[in-house]
Amino acid sequence: MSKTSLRDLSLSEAALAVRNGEVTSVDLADAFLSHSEQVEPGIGAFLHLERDEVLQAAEEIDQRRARGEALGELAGVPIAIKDNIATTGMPTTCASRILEGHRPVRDATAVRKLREAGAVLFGKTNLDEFGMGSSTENSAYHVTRNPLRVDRVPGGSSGGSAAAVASGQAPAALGSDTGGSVRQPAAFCGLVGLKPQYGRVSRSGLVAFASSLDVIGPMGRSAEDVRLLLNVISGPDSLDSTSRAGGSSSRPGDSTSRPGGSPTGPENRADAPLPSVLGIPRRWIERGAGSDVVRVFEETCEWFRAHGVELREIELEAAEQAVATYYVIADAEASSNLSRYDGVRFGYRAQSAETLEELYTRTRGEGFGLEVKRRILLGTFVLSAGYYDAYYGQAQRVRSRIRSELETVLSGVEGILLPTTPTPPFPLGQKSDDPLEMYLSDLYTLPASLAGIPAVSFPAGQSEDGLPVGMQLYGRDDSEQDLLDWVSRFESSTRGNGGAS
Amino acid sequence: MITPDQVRQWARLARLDLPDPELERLQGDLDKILEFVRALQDVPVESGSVPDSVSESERGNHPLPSVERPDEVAPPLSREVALEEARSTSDGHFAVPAVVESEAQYERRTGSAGGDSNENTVLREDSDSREPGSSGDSNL
Repeated sequence: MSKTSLRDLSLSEAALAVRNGEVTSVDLADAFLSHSEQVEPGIGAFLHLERDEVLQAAEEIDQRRARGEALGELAGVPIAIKDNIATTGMPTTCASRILEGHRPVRDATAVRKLREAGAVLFGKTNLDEFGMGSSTENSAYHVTRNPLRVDRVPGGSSGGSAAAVASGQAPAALGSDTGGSVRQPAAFCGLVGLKPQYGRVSRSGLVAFASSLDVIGPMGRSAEDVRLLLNVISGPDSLDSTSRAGGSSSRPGDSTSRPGGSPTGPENRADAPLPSVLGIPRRWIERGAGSDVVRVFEETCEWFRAHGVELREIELEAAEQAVATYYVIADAEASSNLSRYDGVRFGYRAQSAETLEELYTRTRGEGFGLEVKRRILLGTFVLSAGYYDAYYGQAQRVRSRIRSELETVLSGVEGILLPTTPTPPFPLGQKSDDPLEMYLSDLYTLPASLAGIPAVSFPAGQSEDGLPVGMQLYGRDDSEQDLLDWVSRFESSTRGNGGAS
Repeated sequence: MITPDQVRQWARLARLDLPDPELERLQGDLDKILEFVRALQDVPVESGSVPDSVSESERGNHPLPSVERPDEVAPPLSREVALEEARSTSDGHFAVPAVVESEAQYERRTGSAGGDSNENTVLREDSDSREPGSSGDSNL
């Protein structure tokens, strides 16, 4: 097989080829590494990628096969990892100076599961510092460019993971999604990105940003690649008390190997059933999204309608408060979570501090970037005596309303179709000086995060000038498999023409 | 409109050193962001206690049940591994500078003479106390 065709294999095809001995894991890794050497200088997707390290991990897989050992479902497949997910043997910096060179003592549970399935860890990808941003411009190290149009942002905060896959440097990647950080960069880079149900994937080893929202999610070129990754990394974990079994509690008989949804059979889901009714919040979309996005939304509606899906207009009122709600809750949790960075046990330590207090304030002042400081300050304020109830308490109450509203709507429709972002990828630098403007662009991804429900972004079309536009499906609790089925159906009839047209 | 002193106070609560140019920039940003999130206060909600979003299963309002696990003793991180990433250690411990500042350090930090009765965190030391900076760990 030529190097190009090796890079074109789906995850399951690649793993099967390695298991059957049609290709070695080293050849597979080398195909991606060689391509990476050409394109990475113009993209900047990675914070850490060492050729020898990758080849050594691939070599180990090949040796295990030679010894006749059983190989997992990701045998020899390179997977890029967002750099806020702990990996032993590689740095984990969260794109922050305060963790420069940090080497975790444990793998994240999701990483351990990837290794057990035979995956080859393919470097650590860039992000907005600690996941705080929507463009990957808040990295302390360098910006990442959108491989589809290099003057545009790749989205964020999992922009490095999205750019690595979209530029063909890795076949798939892990990201993390607190308020849209998997879905929005997937939309901006023409990929499928899944935010699983909260708790579906263990947070153990995912560096904490906002613990009631954080979830690790897979990003890939197809719904089936994303599904395979989800099935490998999900499941309950004694190291995360919020992690849970794969939908099997609510649906007896489900196999735990297919977390989050109906029992399903063969891998080819192109004939999977579509929902009978989807909700569309049309008014909210027409008010909030740009013309390109509205057009692709209408085209996607048309595709579903043509395939027998009833589209029912719904109103989401509480969800329109999601941006303000999210930035109060996420920043409150961040201000607490990030108090651990104090220069004592790990990470950056300020020089020449004479007292402990000075060590704390200088380490944090020098180690954190501006956006992280902004959020810590806001979070500290909304939790402070005298303001707690009016800000944090009120945000929690509104969050409850958002969750109830989505629950009620989703009892009448099987899913909600809406855009992932209000615009196609914006130019580098356009919003980096205006944090509020950046926050407002998250309006369509935040409600699912606050409610904890699964949501998937998938490529649905293009803007007038050829930029990718992603659509999003929200699902009921534990419905990841259904969402991926629907996206698979959409892909199978639209692949090759760039969208729903 | 939030004031520079408010931002300074939040920074102090968060143990965050903010140089003046950053403080100025953040003050403007935070002012705009707080103005925006203040709209939340007009959203009609059921009054009452703040819901705990993670363990709110009784009200059927969140899908996460409380989970328990057996309380079993497991090996902790070894001391060696736990100290591996620390920049400064001493005798198998994390090393830090003086927890309590000397009077001279206090004066330099606040630019004023010590001894204010409200500053109960300042311990006065004898006049022959060690020079500031020499009281910390030698690894620093």
